[in-house]
Amino acid sequence: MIVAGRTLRGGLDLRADVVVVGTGAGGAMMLRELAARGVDVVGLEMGAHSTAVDFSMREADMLELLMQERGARATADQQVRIVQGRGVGGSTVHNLCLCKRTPDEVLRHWARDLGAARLSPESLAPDYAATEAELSVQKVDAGYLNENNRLFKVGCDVLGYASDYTSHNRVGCMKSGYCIMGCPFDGKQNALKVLLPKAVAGGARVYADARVERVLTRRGRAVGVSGSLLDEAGRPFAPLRVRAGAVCLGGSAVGSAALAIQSGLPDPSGRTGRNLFVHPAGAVAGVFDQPVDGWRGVPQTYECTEFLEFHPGSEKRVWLVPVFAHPIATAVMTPGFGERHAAVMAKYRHMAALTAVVHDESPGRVRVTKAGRIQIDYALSPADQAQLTLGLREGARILLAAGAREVVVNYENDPLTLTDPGQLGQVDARGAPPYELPLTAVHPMGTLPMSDDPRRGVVDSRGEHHAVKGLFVCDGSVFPTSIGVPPQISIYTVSRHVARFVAEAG
Amino acid sequence: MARAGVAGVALGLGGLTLHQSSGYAAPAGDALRALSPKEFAVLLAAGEVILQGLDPELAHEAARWGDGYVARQSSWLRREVKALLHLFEHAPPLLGAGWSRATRLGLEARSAYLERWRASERALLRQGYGGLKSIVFMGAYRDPRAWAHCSYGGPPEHPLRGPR
Repeated sequence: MIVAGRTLRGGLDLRADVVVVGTGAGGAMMLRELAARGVDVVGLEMGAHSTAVDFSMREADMLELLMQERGARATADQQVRIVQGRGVGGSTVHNLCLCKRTPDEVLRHWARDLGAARLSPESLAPDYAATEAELSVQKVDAGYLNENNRLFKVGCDVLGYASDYTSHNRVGCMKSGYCIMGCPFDGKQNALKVLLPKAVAGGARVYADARVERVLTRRGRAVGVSGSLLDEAGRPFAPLRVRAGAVCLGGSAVGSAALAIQSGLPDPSGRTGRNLFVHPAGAVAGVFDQPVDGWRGVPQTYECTEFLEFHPGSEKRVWLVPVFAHPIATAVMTPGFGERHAAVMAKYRHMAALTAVVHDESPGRVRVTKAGRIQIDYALSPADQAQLTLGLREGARILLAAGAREVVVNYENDPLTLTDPGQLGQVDARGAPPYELPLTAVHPMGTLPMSDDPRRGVVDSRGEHHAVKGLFVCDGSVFPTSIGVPPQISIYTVSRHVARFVAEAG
Repeated sequence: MARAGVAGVALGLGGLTLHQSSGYAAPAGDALRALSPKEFAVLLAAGEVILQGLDPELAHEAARWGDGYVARQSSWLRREVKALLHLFEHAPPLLGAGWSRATRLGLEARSAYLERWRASERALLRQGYGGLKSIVFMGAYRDPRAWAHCSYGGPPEHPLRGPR
């Protein structure tokens, strides 16, 4: 059973072998793995416990229910909207089920050059395979293409661009198109549906509405966590404390780094909170003569990898994939306001869209202000701006090749409308300067990087903190670099890898 | 929402911005949850400009929803939004948009004033513009009247709850 912390009026004071902070991909896999090994484990989640019946498919309500800061999280300068899950199951509740392994080239770079010796492709392959089997990951086929994705495929085919169907963890999918608001049909084979029930069945004790505010240490060793139980409005009302032989952080690259900073943990490498990568993304929309109704059907079933390579310093670091937003997100991301904005929204039904996702090399930073608030600093380097420009240009080319009568790149000052491939040079001319494009990021990673060299990493390649024994990290924080692909399956897998060592320590 | 400094700038305008609260009628209907009548009026005034081209009733709906949204936010974000609304109300003279408060500007002048926020070189004003726009569009495009404008079919019947 997953306990709602809001119901525990007297607070919470527990002992366990291991306490896991966060119940997203990393935390849930850790809980499931440890429970299966007979470890006495407690899981703490700051957000609420919601299930299929709660996923109303109402966009505003679900933004508030499922997202950090009720959908308002962004970089400090508001340039990049950061979409992160909050609640039992974390971002796996609202993500679009994309499953793609971290490319071997990236893993080799980590193992060979960055000291993450245990993360080589060969050592992770069995964990990837086991994770994919457990979560029913399968490549989709033409039967899953909605009109938005079909048009994207047409454009890629016309241009001869490298492209393919994607792999997803969905079973019994009703193709409703509301994946980003949580699945009311329970088709997602995610942390909430698959892993946490197994963890609980195995004896794990999981608490929602339980915010961890400090990692407790004694003589260089993690001995537990403390924090607050939160009421329905998210206000603290009672203390919580869990004393444990080991602590594992799985609260995301933002949350785990913030907790490490807030706890005043030693930071010999100086990298805690730094090294933040987010896969910044910008969108391009095409207007077609026929209705597209892009909100219907399964999202992101096709991808273009023509401009995505993984060796460091590559000049091709952008992944193109169809994207479609429901009306609120579309309205917020569409430049301007008033009559002109309304005229754009009137074309909504006829729009197809895609996103250019940058495999970024611009490190940002997670901080905690004196007032205790999380602050995310992030700015695209000129090289990453060039990659975004490349992606927007080629995305526009794909939509024109698919038959769009016009393509719009959403520059805040004077959106660019293109009707002919001969005009694509205008995208290069405009580029991707700061504050000119509405950017979104859904994949924060890298803020507690993994390396066996304590000068380079915060944790070693077993996931244990270099300076705090018994403290492990099992989420996307540990990735030493951007991975260039959706991270969920890699987070599950790395957590499975780290769990072996946590079990020994706990 | 603008995180760094909106509250500080609003406070910098002194009692003028934060304490001139007379002349703002409370909206009819349910009591406000987070916003003062003045703050509600400012959000409504911004919404009337941002939502031009849609059903005029939506601006009121968006302001109502915005009040609840702000009430559900953390205390610091609530402070930031309230400060933003005060700043928006009293900054027209600072931006060369006349000597009136924003709520007393005509629709066209208010639109030009908001455009100055949008295109400002000051990050603070651009962020404030983004915050206002987000709250207003969230409040408006959750409403089926706005869905009709963009031909959005809305969600299917919930498998566990039935029709709403």
